[in-house]
Amino acid sequence: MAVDMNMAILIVDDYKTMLRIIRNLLRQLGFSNVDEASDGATALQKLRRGEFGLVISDWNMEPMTGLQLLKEVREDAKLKSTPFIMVTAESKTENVIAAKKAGVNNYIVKPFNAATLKTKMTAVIGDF
Amino acid sequence: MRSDVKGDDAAARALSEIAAADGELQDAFDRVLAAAETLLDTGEAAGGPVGDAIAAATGTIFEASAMRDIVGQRLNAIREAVELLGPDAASPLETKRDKAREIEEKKGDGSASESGLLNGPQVPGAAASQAEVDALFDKLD
Repeated sequence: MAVDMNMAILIVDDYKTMLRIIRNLLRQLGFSNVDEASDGATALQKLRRGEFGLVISDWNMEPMTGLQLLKEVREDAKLKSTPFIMVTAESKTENVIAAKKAGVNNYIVKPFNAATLKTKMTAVIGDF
Repeated sequence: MRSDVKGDDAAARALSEIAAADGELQDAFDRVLAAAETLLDTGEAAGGPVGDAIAAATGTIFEASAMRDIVGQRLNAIREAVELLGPDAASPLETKRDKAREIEEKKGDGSASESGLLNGPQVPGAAASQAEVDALFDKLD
């Protein structure tokens, strides 16, 4: 099934520069329906209010981290099947295991490039 | 006492320099990204091979700019270390070692909890590559 290029994507990061970079990379990949949140709590509010086809989230945020956001998403009946990609500088084995255990769909290590973002998105939402 | 005063001065100066570097870096990245976005708009309007070339170049700018996040996290780690060392910055080496151990122990606290998972970027060479993370991720299926 073809990916809906108009699907809403929520990007979550407490670094405004990263939000700007990911938004631009997504734009270059053909996705323009992109919303942003600078922390987990705001992201959760937006997810509960809207229909998002993908979440791309940083891990290291306050007060709600990306891992806590992922757990909240997976525990929410309406949101639990929302594809979720973690993008983080945390690359230790225990981090990958914790994220996988919490139900993350893919894991991108910062710094990353557009090709990696596309590959991981394809693995999660399908070819585009 | 004298050494504490010198240490306080040195720590305050270091924190001020870190804040200045962080701010200046942010200003530069804001300008670079704004320029790249203008180029991207121009490339999309132009289309064709010129548009493709501009898109490729701006993509490289966006990818390279992602280091701002890593550098920011590293500056935060330095800031936290300076704040913890504080007046001990000018103290004997042994005191610094004790403080450094304290910082490491604090980082290691609750390693089973999520706080132990938030360590920021590792030093170059020590961090797992995307390929290594992918291999581990797939193995966990």
